[in-house]
Amino acid sequence: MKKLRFEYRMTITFDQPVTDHRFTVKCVPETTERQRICDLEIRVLPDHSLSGGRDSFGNRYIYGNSPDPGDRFEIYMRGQADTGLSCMETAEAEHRLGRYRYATSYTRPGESILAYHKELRELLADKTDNYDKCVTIMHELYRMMTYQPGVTTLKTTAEEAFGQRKGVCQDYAHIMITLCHMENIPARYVVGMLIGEGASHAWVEIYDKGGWYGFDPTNDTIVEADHIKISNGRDYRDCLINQGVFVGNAKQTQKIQVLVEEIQQ
Amino acid sequence: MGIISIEQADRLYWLGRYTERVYTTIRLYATSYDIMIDINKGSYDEFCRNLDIPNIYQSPEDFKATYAFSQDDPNSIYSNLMRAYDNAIELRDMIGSECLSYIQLALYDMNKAKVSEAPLVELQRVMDNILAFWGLTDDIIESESCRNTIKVGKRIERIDLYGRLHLSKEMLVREVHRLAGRIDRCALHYRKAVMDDLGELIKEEQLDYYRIVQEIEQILE
Amino acid sequence: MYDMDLFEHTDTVNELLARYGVKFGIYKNNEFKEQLFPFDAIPRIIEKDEFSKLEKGLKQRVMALNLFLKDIYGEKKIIRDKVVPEEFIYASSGYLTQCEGVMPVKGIYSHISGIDLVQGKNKEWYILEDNLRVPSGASYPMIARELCRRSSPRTFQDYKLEDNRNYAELLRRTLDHVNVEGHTVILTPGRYNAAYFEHSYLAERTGAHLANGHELIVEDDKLYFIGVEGKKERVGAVYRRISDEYLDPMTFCEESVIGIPHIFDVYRKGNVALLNAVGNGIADDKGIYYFVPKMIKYYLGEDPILQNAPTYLPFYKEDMDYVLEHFDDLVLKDVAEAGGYGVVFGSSMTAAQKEDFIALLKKEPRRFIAQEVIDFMDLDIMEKGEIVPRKADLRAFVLMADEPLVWKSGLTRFSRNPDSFIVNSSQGGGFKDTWVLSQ
Repeated sequence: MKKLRFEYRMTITFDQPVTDHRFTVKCVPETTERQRICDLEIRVLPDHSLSGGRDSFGNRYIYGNSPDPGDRFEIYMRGQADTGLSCMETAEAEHRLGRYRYATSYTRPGESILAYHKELRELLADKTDNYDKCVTIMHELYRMMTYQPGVTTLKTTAEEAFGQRKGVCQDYAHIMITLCHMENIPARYVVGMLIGEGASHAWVEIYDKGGWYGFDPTNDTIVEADHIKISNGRDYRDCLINQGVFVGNAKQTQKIQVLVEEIQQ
Repeated sequence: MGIISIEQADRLYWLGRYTERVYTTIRLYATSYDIMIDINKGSYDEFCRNLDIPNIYQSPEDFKATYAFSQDDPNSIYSNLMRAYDNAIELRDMIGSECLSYIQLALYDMNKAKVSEAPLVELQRVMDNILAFWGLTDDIIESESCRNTIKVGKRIERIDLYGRLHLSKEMLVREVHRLAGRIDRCALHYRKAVMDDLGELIKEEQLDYYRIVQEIEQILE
Repeated sequence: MYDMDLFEHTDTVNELLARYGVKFGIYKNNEFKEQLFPFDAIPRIIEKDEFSKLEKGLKQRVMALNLFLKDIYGEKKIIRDKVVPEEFIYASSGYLTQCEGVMPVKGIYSHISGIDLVQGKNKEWYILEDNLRVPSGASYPMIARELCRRSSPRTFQDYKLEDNRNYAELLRRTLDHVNVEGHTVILTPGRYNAAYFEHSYLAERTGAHLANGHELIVEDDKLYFIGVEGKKERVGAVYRRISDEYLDPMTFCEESVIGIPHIFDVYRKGNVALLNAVGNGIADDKGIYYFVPKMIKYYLGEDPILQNAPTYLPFYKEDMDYVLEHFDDLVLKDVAEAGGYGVVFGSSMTAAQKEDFIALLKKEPRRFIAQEVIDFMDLDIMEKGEIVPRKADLRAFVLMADEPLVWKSGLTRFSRNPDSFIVNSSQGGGFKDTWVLSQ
């Protein structure tokens, strides 16, 4: 168990004013079996008209619009989290988890993953539990891949990233999900924050015997008390922190600052 | 639902303008066509000047065919009728299938005129259909602001054309008065100062046609 | 046997259809063209008793499909009980994960269903496919009837038949039933859509407002229509004629410019009704079609009144064996295609084509269904003054208001090509009125 303080700030600036900006923001960490969130403060600007909702993955979101010209969009959030309260989150009935077993455009395997899976299968042959299999998948993936920012983009698929054996947390998570699917293990994509990370982070939750367990393949660790979860879905797209459409021919620049630190008691 | 969107108001207005443009230019074309039969074959030059459109026509034959029926000449009667049709077809729910059908029929007759030896006969039917369309819109469209928006478009176009053609003072006075009686009750925003200016302009002994055309072009916001 | 008076007026009716702009748009070589939809005056006639059997069967089928949709986006009992294998759900493009847990107003998913049927030579009706997304076509027989009555009043004195011009009333009742509080809008992608005539005609007839995506906006958790004065009018029901993926760029296809940002969020909260519901594509998927008779049994505990065309699912080994053995007798359909595309007849393939196709079939068995070629009962049409037989189908419309309503008519489409089984209007077919006798 740990007590963490977190702060998250996203700023988008437009090089010329935009109008009719409509946005959906999925950045609300919630209390679960694993984490307790308190003193949460969220600010979204412009705040002309804001509403809240919950998506089909259970993630809370804020949506709204701003009709007037503006050149700045900002999300600010801070709070405290008690983490590591449990090692898992209780899952829905198994027959309802189907969507976490099938590929999306991000997690569809191609030649390089299919070939790799053949090797991997031998290492998994003596394991029966999903959890144990995933420990092996994570270690192997970590061994195979080199963490390297800048070689992949937000649109890179698991297959593309694995083909070059390089990528960032988003790619690690997608590849691990793909490999889990191939082992018929339900797996989902998670977005959140991590102690010591200056940006948002992505990892994976896998299903085993009624629960979801967190695996962080980028760091080759099981998720315990250093992670604060924000949202989950099938892939990156389901967990987009910010989405927007607007009228105007502006270029946008996005800046994200995240701070997570432990509160010593 | 008794509420008109900006886009629909715009369509109603242009439907009024283009039907009027087609109607009046067919009448002018018919007059010119008659003159060009044997009296003065080159009279289309004056026609273009009056209407303030470029004289791109090579010969009387070219003028007769292209000005009336060309799909590529943006000033042709055909192009203007197509624009009326393009607006009308998106207004079926507001003006009703019966009104719309007369624009459709006008288009069919236009296509017949295009291949006719004596196109004025079919063009007469095009005018008949436009007249029926106007009559019916007046008769069956329930929403007053919808009806008036079409009419305001028609009146504005008419003042514009009559001004360009330097038609008589009586005709312009009548049209401006008719517009003044409607423009408050349509779905469009207009510049009241411009309407007032027009009212003054038509009082002058010698009409300043150039200014009338200028003013009418900017009456809407 | 035929009432010649009406047929003598075929040209009159077609002229009137042209007058009222009864057309559909098509793209040829990237150019938009409007085409008349050729009308054949010989009606399809369905006896009263026969139709009442169809009516029962159609209601039953649509009820089961509605329950299926509710189950798939909710409890998923049919998966738990292994009646439908889960890959047929999750690997289908019709399944939209965003709809999980979203309950449409009053639990109705398929408000307007277009069920395509054919009649075999044995007089038996077979279901060809279900259309639960945006089925079109009701407007054509509706206006054709009006114009036939105008052209040949005597015919309608002699025959006693159900008046199908009530479609607009049925539709209005269906729209009003789920309207949460506000105006009713028909949302169109615009006049370059193939079915634009229908959108505008149904708006006129139901008194609904025809709107484009940018005339509607979401604000404060509600949907509004924006008037010329900037006045906002609440919208309570949207009969949307645009497909799911373009409906909301914030939830579906980001590039969509014809949709309304955040409409899905408002829909999720129950603050506006969308007709039909989002995500229905999973129930009219060609792969799922195979399971509809099983659904009827599963959800309603009844035997299906109307039969599917005999269908095989190569996904199952014994069906694959059958398909390979009887390849030449079957028609194969790609489950991802629509509008008469992706349909091939085993008998019409060359040896090489067959070999390629079978290789593909073995590689992607879930992608195809195979059906027995039904010996259609042809319908007569008039061609150049002569009566000739042609293939035809029937699209029946079932509307779900406070109770299921079967429209006592339907769109009968026929192929003008004597050798073709494909009756789709986008492939050059024509249409007939469908008469249901009232006594």
